[in-house]
Amino acid sequence: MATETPLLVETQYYNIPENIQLDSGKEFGPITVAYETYGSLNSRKSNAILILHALSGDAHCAGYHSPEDNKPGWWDMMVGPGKPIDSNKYFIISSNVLGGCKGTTGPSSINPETGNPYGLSFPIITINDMVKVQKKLLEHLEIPQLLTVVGGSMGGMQALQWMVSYPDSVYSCIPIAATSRLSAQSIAFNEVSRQAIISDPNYNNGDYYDGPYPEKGLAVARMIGHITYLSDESMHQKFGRRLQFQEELSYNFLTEFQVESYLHHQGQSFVRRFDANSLLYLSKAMDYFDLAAGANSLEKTFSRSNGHYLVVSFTSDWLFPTYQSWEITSALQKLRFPVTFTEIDSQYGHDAFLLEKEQLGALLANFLESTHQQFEEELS
Amino acid sequence: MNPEKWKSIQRGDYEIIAEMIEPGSSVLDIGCSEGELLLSLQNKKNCRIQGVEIDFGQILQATSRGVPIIQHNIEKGMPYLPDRFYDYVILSRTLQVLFQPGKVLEEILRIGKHAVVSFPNFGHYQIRSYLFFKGLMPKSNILPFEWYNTPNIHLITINDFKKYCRDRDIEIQEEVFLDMDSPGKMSGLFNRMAPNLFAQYGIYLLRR
Repeated sequence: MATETPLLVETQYYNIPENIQLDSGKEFGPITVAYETYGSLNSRKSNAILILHALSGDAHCAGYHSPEDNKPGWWDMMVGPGKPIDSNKYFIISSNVLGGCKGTTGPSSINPETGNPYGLSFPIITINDMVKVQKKLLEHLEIPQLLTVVGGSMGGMQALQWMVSYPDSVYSCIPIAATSRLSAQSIAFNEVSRQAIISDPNYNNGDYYDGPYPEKGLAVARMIGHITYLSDESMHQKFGRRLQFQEELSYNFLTEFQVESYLHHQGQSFVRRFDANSLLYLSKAMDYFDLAAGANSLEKTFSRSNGHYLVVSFTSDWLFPTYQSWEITSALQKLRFPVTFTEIDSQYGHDAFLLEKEQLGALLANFLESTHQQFEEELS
Repeated sequence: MNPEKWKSIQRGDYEIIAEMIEPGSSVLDIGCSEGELLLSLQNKKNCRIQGVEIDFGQILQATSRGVPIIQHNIEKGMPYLPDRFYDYVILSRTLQVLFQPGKVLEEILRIGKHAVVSFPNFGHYQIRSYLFFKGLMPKSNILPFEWYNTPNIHLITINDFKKYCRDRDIEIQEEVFLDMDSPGKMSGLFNRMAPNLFAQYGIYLLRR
């Protein structure tokens, strides 16, 4: 709604009073969680929605931090007053993941035992560990059951994990451009990104916080990532073979094509806002994600996770292709859980969940409205 | 085309199908549009419902009604489902638009304990006379398209369908005929004598 005054929000912090038992077996603490909320919780506590961010996201998903702020939250298109995930109707919570670098404890946080950043002494974490931390936050906010958990990409993984880990605490789930297990292809891209960082001479075994930053490695990692988030078609539309600065080929290795310039820019701006170690830890957590592991089948894993599901994929997403959403959908159908699945026609590739405003927006708004009504009926 | 009449057929179709379905059963509706039939089965018969639809616009509408709906082309089947998984699988007003109706019928009779199939009857006397006297591909209120733009690519008669079932040991548990000009089930003489000539629409409850 153009006429609404901009939503002003503030990031809040919660210090979890106890340690968390990690999947790796280690106990870890203390943990601080950075989070934001939009809208207000109704008296029946039936309107709480948890938003889960992707690899490079943060707690700030909607609105602005100050009137002068010109960059809204990462999903401002979807979240806020009058938006599909409407803060006039719902109480929306968004937090930074464990292992991140935007306020929640991660490898760049200070280890209270040493007074220095954790670096590589930070424990290996999983998607499930991120969800455990979010559960603590929800307990602190005194929300017994969420109306929905929603997220794209790594956020979709967390959404699915919520259904498996805490089925009684969630009524519905919206995994977007997600998967129940990372494919070999995606692990391969993650590994190349990690190697780019680790082989940067400034990386210094993860202990670079006092010295020069492994800028080149992190930028290359981001460039690789960005290629996987786009599609052949969207790159063609956006850049084609156009040259950036000149009319004719210059016959050297300087940046010539627009697509090169774009990737350099993406790499550089990422370096300024993201911690290299966080990328290592978060990408590893994604690699480890496999909901069917240990149970031999996805159905068995989901068998306790009765809830309403909205599964969304995009035609041009080759990083988390539609077949992966279909695996989730068919497992849920076999369990007779109510499931809505749709593959949205989009040229934006994996990034479509951040860009497909109209189709995805309408779908989310409709699903939330009817699911909220059903949830209310079941509560009464 | 007469949208009002088409609507009355649609409502009649839904009502009769709803009568065929036992309360509390699990139902898969293929080509479920906006999920109207499923919603009434859920509300009035306490059925456990799931829809399948190919069109995003319809899915969007079904989602606003709270009808769970999977975007899928049923011609690909649902090979991952065990036999007799649903109590009823409904294929309403969809048979004639399929590329491989035989394959789809086999699949719904496999995944459903019962199948409900409804389709417009191409053997109706008005359609026959249209072709006979005009020599043109028949058009009617429920088949309003031209030959070059019709989605209806596998048109059949009531007798075609009965023969199909007989040849493949499919049990017809119930058959209901509709005439657009008088809403509700066709009754009396015409119905008993010659549905292939007088029914504009057939609805079948099947089992294998």
